[in-house]
Amino acid sequence: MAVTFEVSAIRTSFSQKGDNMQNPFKKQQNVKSENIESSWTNKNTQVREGYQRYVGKKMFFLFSMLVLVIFLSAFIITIGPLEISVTEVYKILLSSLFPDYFTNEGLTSQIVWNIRLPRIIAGIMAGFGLGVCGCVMQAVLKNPLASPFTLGISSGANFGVAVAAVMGVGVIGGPYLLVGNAFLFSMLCALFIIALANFKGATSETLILAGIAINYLFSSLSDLCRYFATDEQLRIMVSWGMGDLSAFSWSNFSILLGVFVFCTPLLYLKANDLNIMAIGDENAKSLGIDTNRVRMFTMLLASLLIATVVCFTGTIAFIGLVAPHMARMVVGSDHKYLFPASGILGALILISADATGLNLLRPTMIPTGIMTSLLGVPFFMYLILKKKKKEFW
Amino acid sequence: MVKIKIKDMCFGYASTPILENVSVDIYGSSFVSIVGPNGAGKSTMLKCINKILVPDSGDIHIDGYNLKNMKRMEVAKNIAYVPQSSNRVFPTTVFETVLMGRRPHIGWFSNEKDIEKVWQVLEEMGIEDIALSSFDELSGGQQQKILIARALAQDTGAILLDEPTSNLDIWHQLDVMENVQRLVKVKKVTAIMAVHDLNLASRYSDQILMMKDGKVVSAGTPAQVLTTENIAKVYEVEAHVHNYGETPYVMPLKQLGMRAIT
Repeated sequence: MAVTFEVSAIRTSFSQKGDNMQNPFKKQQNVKSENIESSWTNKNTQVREGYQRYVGKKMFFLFSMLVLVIFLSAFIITIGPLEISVTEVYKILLSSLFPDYFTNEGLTSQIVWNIRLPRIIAGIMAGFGLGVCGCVMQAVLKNPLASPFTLGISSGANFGVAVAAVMGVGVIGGPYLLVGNAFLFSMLCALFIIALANFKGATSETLILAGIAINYLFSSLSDLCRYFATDEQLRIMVSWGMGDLSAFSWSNFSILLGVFVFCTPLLYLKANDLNIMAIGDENAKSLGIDTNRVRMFTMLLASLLIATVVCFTGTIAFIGLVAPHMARMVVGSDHKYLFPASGILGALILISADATGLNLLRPTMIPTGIMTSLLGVPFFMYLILKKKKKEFW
Repeated sequence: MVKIKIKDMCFGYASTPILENVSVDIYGSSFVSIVGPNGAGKSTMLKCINKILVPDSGDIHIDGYNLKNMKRMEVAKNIAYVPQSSNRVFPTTVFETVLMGRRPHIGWFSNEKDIEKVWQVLEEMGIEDIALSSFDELSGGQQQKILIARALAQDTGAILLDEPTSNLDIWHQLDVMENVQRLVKVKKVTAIMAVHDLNLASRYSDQILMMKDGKVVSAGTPAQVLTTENIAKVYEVEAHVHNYGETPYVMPLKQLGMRAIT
């Protein structure tokens, strides 16, 4: 009975439109507006709940990763080549916060406070920086291969160090000779890529190709320096090129923190625009985004951040490329979630790889850059090979 | 109800002119189709109106305001653009794609109102079931629908569509055209559509612009524009034009002469 009712209802609605049935080519001048209004009221609550769950899942992931980073740091600080008991470590940490209540003893305090803690903080900041910069670069260049390493920024820094180590030439003398040179040359590379990005007709493929070419150029130049280097100079270059967190100390902390506090919030504010940039320039322009300006602005900030990180820690190539991809697998492409997720995952990968490198073959310390790739690559390969139906790039 | 006035617009890449002295008046709340052979400048014209491309000379006025003096964000508040397709490197969900249409109206936070607006548009288009699907996994027809939904979320007085029906089957072709027509009639939106199918253009649009080599050859109602002579002149095709009441129906018969493929 219900069916016949429906059919007759459709018939009457057709007959109201009159001669439309006879001549479909005749223009419909008065389309009824009630049809549209009424459909809005039947909200599909099931789909909306699904969406809420999806958002909730992403928030939960971010939060749990953050908690994991904190717990991991708390654990890592208690292990190291020198055996220091857990209670002692925390006593030392607390003693610097509340010097009145806890005592502070010589060597162990030195190790915890001046070696272990800065190393963990450097790891978190460097990993976070590499992760978010990779994420930003991939979005504005619309290319899954974009990362500080593939754009030649790391190799520029490498060459800067080689120049400083072998020829002793640098913009800033004294203790910041290496760091200053690394910063300068990585910024030079970044500016070249940015200039190229604003060059009319330069596609994102051109930029990646140019970045890889720059990579080769600076690698050869670094090799040239290496060829003429003495043993001592060689050692500096090699250890720097492998990426090492131990160069970081409290004296550098304020510089790194300053750049972080300046760059990260400004980049994160562009999260909505990054989403739109990733769907192409024409689409972005039609949605009101000044694409060249956004690209210039975000690339400059990201390069500044990455140059600062790289000049203190050396080449840690892998994280900038991979952390955003891993994050994307879990939280999707919305940069409001992807941006922090890339950063936190980057930090997580870096500190866990560093801790493994530090403790695997005691007392030998395996450099951070090597360990990151050794642990990260198999994990990443597993992730991209097992990916189910979803295509992630 | 956005009126668009184009005066002496010229555009070209390097030395190749694409549009030459185009002058068109488009009334508010009308459905205008731009037809013409490949390379006639249809898409370029749409992109100029939306400031994706900036004309070399001439003026475009949107409701009396000169486009040159409008910021991109202001343009996006008044005119929406539906691209032919949207290739993306990274997957986005349907919901995220439609939410992008709210960008001209929001700052960093997409508040409840914007989220609600997106749900409304999705329901209006009947695609709320696929809200969490990945855009890339959908069929061409669904993708086109979502791009139109994005333009709807933009909540503008004018909408530009770049060959929205060219990759679709006839069901989806009608679906797109019905949706656009509803916008024009119910929400009084001005729609400008570049389209290849002369019969769809004829059946749905109020006005047709016929272009060739960057110039407007003929403009007016479908019956005025779609004549055997115009089609022969512009497409170099002999066609039979049959009239259903006031609506002409074009049946192409054979090519006249050889034309360089552009």
